[in-house]
Amino acid sequence: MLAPSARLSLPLEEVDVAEELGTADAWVTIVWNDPVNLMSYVTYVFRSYFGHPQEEAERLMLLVHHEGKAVVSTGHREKMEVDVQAMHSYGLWATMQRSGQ
Amino acid sequence: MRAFRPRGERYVARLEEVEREVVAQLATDVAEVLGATPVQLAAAQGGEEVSDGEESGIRVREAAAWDVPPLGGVDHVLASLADPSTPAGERGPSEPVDPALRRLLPSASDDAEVAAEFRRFTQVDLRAHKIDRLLALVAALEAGAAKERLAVPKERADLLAGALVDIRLVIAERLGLDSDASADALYSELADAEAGDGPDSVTAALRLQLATAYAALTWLQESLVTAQLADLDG
Repeated sequence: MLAPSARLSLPLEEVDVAEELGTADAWVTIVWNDPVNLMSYVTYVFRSYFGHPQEEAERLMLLVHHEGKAVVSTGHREKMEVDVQAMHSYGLWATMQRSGQ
Repeated sequence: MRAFRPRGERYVARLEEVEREVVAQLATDVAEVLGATPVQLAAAQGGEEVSDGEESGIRVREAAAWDVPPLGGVDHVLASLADPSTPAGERGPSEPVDPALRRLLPSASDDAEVAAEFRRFTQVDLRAHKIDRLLALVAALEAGAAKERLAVPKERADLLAGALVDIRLVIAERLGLDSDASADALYSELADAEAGDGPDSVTAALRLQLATAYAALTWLQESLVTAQLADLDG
């Protein structure tokens, strides 16, 4: 038997993303500004880990720098734990919380 | 000290003996803050002496220094129960007391339950990984000593970058750099010290040493990330 959420109209990954974004299960990873990490390094991390192009990585880095923080990823809680741990491994200061909080 | 530059499949910087000793000591100190065992510390420093100083042999040891397991792969729950920072009766590691260690292993949430669960699932791995790459830096410095060289294979450069960040995070905490403004002020402080008659107390002298190391490591890190970004552009 198929589980209720399984659909064949979309690739499985897209179903997954749609579910994440549309339900109370959505969490976010936030990177916070700190005085130690270089702007170039933060840009490098966003390119290297999230696969962003230079422009998007720089946009996020400048958000962190000027606004003090930026949401860098969205998804279910377990995925955010992976992303936060990766950011901590790079030495960035990151937290996770429910989306919309 | 000479900045990192791409050299074939590696990034290479030049450090004189004194600089090498300072960086190795700082990396060792931070590994100790993270809880590296005496056996681990001794193993990193005790690279086997090879009789021939052939370039090829040095290169092999320089590369081998960075042979560090990837983040992850440990059974988190079981490992955290065995973690020395886990208080008896608790289900996972608690928030570190030392502010420098809190910066290396930060809280993942304001929500105590979320933060505790995150530590339970990630901290043992992350702590081990950070120790591994700091000690890899110590071993790489020793391997390249005869050539006054610090080299890292390009595909391992994130390990070096992370180790440099962790050392800088701890120095910054010890120096009280808690804002962009105070980090900028450090450079004025260094310029003033250069123009003045030298530090007037032991504390001031120690602070100046740390500030000097911080500025040098920041400069090294900037050169490394510049090379890494250039390689991402291909």
